[in-house]
Amino acid sequence: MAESSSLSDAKRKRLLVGICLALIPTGASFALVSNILMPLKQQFIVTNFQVGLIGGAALWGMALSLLIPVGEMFRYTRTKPFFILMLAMMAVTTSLEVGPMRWVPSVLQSAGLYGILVLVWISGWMVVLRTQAGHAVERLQPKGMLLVAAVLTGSGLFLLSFATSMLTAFAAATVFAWGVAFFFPTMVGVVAEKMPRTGSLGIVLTAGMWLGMAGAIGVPLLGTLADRYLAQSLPASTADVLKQVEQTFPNYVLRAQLADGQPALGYREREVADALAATRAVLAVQQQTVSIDNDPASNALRAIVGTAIPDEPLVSDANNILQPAEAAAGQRSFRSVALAALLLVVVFGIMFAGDRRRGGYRAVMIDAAAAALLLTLLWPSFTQAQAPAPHAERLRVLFLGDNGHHQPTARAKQLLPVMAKDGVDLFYTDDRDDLNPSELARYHAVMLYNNHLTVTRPQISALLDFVSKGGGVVVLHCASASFQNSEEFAKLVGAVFKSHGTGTFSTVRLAPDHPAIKGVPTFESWDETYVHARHNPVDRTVLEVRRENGRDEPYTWVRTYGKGRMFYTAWGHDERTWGQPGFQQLVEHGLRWAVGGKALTQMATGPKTTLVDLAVPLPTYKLPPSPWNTLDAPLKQAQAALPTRESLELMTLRPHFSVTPFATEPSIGNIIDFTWDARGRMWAVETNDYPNTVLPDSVPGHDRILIIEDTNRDGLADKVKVFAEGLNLATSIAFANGGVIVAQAPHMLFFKDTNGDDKADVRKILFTGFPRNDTHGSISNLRYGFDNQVWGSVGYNGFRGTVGPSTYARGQFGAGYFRFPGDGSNLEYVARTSNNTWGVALSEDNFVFGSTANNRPSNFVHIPLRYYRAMGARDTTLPDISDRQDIFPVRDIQQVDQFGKYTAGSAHELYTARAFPSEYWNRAAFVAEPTAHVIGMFDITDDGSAFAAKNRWSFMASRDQWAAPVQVKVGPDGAIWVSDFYTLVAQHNPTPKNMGGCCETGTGAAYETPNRDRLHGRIYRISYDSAHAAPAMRLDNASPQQLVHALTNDNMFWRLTAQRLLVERGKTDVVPALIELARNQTIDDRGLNPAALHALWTLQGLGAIPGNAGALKVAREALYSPAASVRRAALMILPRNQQLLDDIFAANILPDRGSSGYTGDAGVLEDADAHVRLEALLVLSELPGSAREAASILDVMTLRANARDPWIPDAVPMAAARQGPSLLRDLVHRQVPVNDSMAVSGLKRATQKIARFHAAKADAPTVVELISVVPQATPPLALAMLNGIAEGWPQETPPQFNAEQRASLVTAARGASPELADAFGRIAARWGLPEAFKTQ
Amino acid sequence: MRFPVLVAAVGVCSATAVAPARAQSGAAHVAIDTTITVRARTSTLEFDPPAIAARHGTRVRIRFSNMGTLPHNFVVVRDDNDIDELAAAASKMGGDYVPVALKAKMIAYSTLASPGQTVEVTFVMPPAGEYTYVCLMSGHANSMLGRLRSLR
Repeated sequence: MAESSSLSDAKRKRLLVGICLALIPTGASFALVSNILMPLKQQFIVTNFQVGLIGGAALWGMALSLLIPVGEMFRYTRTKPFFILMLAMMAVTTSLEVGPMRWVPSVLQSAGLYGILVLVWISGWMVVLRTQAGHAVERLQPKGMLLVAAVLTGSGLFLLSFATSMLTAFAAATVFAWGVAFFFPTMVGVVAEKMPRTGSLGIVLTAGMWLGMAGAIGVPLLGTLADRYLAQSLPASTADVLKQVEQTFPNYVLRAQLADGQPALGYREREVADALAATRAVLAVQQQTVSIDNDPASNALRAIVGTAIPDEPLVSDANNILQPAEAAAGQRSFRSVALAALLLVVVFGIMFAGDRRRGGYRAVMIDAAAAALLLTLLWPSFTQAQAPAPHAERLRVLFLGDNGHHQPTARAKQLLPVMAKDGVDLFYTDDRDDLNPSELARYHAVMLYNNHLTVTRPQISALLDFVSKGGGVVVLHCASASFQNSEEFAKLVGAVFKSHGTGTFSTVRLAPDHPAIKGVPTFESWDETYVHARHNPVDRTVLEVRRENGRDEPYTWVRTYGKGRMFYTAWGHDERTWGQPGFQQLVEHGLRWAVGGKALTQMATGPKTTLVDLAVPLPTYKLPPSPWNTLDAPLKQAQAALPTRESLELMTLRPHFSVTPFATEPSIGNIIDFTWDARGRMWAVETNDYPNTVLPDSVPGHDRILIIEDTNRDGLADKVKVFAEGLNLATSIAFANGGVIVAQAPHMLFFKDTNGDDKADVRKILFTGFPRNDTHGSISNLRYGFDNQVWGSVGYNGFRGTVGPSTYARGQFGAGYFRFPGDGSNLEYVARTSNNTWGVALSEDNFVFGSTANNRPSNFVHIPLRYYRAMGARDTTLPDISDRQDIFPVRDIQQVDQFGKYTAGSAHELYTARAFPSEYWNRAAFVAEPTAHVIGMFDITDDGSAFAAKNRWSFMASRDQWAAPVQVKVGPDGAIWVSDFYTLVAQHNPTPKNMGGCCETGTGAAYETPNRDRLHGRIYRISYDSAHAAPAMRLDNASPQQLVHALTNDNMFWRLTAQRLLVERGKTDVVPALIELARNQTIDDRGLNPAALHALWTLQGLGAIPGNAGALKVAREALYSPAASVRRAALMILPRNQQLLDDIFAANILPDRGSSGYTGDAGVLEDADAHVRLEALLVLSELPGSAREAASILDVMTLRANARDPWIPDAVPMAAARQGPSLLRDLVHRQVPVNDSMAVSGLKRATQKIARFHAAKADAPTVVELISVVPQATPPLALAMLNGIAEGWPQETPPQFNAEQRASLVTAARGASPELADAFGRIAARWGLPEAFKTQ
Repeated sequence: MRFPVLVAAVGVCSATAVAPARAQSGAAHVAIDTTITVRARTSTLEFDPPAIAARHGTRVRIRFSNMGTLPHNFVVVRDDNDIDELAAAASKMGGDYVPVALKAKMIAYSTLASPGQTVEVTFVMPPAGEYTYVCLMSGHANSMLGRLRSLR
């Protein structure tokens, strides 16, 4: 259970090494300034500035060696403003750091202080502080650190300038050291983390700037300032001293000449002569200008002092003038430079505030950057070779299609991988409203392939504005027939479609050298032969024509429009043309021309991938009609695995989203599920045994529960703890009941850390019974639900066994969703799904969604199975709610079946936070599809009591063959977190047949292949670029009040966590506060009141409803909430009794004939929300029957909105089952709406189900009574009732009828229509009484 | 009791409806008493209908039409307690997902029907009682179950 510390520690160590290396030239320059240059200054009579230049030069060599790739530098400085800013700031920080430090000894020395000691003091602090920098960064985040450093450095320098005693000097030096210590490492770190794409070069430039500026500016700048201040500080007595020197010194020169250089003199003739010359020069100037020039004067004084003539009072006089002046000037120069810190405070302050607003500082990629730093400092020339190629920008294109006969989705899908390879990302929409300024601003170009006849004014204005301001537009084929109500659109395109024939043809190039078409091969294809009208030749260049009978029809052309460009081709009716490489190139070239600029010449292809030979090939499969599992030519080569950073660069994300790594191998392996604790720490299930290592309980497995932490909040995991190990085929994790629940078929396990050491102390089996002979049919996605139970999904392995009061035999608990209390005291099979089921998601209004294998990416639980089973009905299998099941991969993929469709929707997450744009809130669903390397996206909208999921293409699509996203969750920060198995093979079965002896079926029923990788595993985070700040949050030590307050958080993760903690806490002291929240009757712009919803469920979890009178009251009041989800929650929570029934009617949730005087469709009082009406019907199914209810149920069913509803016709029979058969008799007499087949079919469905329920009781008198009303009943409903009776009557249970009943049956069937007669026949057959309806 | 004769025929279902053939005692190997069509539902792991019945000792032909998007087979199991063993063995072997080595535990089995395909299996109804028919394709046996009733 060792703690494996990882990335950030490594980073810190590498940075330290780098800093130490940097200290070598720094140290050398210190030595230069202090020990060599000071004597030099006096020796050669140079100014402080000149000394600075010479001292700085020592650093230039190093700097230049780092600044070699100048061309590259300019490329970056042109494209990365942030980088320019950081370089500039580096220059300033250097001035603050290196400059003063170099001068500290001499300046303080001048002030009579032990300057060198102060320098040692500062340096000592720096060494200590830099090794501890990590902790400071953790608290402040990098830019906060820079801010604090700037403040401290400036203050320190300022104080230093006033130091007059050793004590004050040391105090000031300490403040200075605390600030200055963090500049260099943090600056380099920020550049490395924020701009990994600058690669090692960024580090080189930053470090180079540090050294270069130290040499070029920092040191000389201070010298210059000191010179100026020194000159201003010279007293009036200077001139007197100089005059005396002019008179006295010639004697010394003469004496020396006489002595012929004898050392006994104690001075050198040359020095004295130089000093004399300098003095005369000053005085000569004074002759003309009256005043002395202080600058040369100070040099002269310095020279005089330098002569050190023994016992000459003028030397000490000069020194007495110079020394204080030097000190004052030096200290004043510190003060001036300190002002530069103000600039830094402002800049870093803005950056820091910006980060906070965006949700905190985010590293982009640090490991490689830190490594690059090391390499850079060790081998500057190496980095030149490693400098990454310039990144051209990927082109983002909005593809507007429709649902028409041109099948734009399918066509765009053909183009998608071709374009993606070349750095063009297509984003599909068929919503014209996406033609709006803010959406269009996300793209370089718009591609139109649609048949919308009309366009609204705002839509076309947005498009025209986009183009005229420089955007590109590509109009393909039928789009020239769209937007017919806009003359301006026709002008933009340059002609409109008029008519067409068909044929196989090719076009003739008129302008083969035009950049939009140059190099594009011509092709021949079957297509429609478009003829155009309303030509607009202005600014139009025709590139190709279609030649027919000697007549040229313009076929491909370009136009300019304002600052923008339009490309049109009439090609492209169907897949025959779209599949032509020539057409694909034509469109791509046209697009590039339309975008213009670099798009024509530069291609953003991303990191290079290489193909490697495989020991065992990858199977590919033939499409139907070939039988299932028919192998096609296997792939003998595959892409080599990529480092995380490069893999992430191969991802296409929606515009303005970014992906950053969180944890990667080798710190972690394959993470099959993850969640977060109350501290916001990630808990992950790492599986090494999946899918084929199936071990008995007695043998410890290789799966682990990890706690993955980012302790320094740099966005990267830096600590991995092992909470539990020795697991085998653990597949999911959720917090509940004070510990964690881990799914490990056949068991549901419970772990608890009792002593806070992050290790499992309690391990127990909650219940057992999940078969696991096929490991991909197992348990997934455990989640703590609103109802304070743990939800999860299971594949076709299902469950068999007994948990508390519930027993499930074979076949009773198949694939689907289940829930259980955290203590494992019960297990409810909630919904049946069609097949292997993995994804589970809760919406903010407490609907349970999920994803199922094989063409069913999205479904939701409409009515729990217990209601179907309570009335003896057959289980309903959840239907798919998506409008299309297509996946939209951006590269070749391998599938066995469901070709081009979702086949392994392994996660289904809803966006339940607020850090993404509003169109995501509680409606965007993310479905992970590892076999297609995508995370698909759906837009979930209400559809009566159901939901519809509109396929919105991909949220993420990777061109990396290894990318295999398996889990997607909204994190505590509101970003989307993804686990990537990173493997070539995510596919489980079948085992390929006849592939060169490959492969065996493993014990987990997955086929065995070495291509099933075990070495890689990654977790990354996808965030919105302009996300608002998610303040740091943790609830582990929160007070009860804080927990209650957290129920109002805008991220459902925190709301549910707070709810769970309050329920686990189990104390009712929070009940008044919860009632207060639940009482709030406001709604947000999503129609939600999340706080009230969670407050109600927390009260339920605490047992306060119905126990606490106040809580019961607020739950009853909640039936009147404007938020439908709150009304529905109240219906779910309130005790089933007469009071609830009265409340339902009082709140007009269901029509009450008695009070409302119901007369038909009009004027009926019932809940506007179908989900609430449905829930109320389920409540009725749990209450004893009554005439009032029966009347209401009838009224509900005959309301057209309910009859047409997807699930109310299922809920009505459940409520009706508590009523007598008279309800059914009344129902079949109701009129059905003519010309509304949907409503009629709903009515029939409900009727049939009610009839089936009554018939199943095999009660002869009841059935006779029902059948006898057929002649008077509404025919379609009578038929539905008869069909229900035929289905419901138990097989091989012939009824016994008396003579009167037999007569009634015969009468009822007399004169029946053929349809009804058939139904009578089916009943007779079911009874085994063929003559039942015939006259004896 | 006669030993069941297993006839598995692969082929696409002809469009013509099959009328119940007349029983012809003495010519058991060709005469079919009843033809029953069983479907695999479009995209759920379910048989349609979920229960079928025929008189014991009669010859039954099952036309198994796979309307789904996954392959399935149709296997009548002699004893429900053997389903797990049969399913595990089927998963392991792939192919038709029929563990032929355990054929004594099966009353009848079809070949694997690819999506859209129809296969036939003919057998003599076992002694009166309730039996289970199941799909032994990997993992399906926990959900895809039906009841075969052999009537007196």
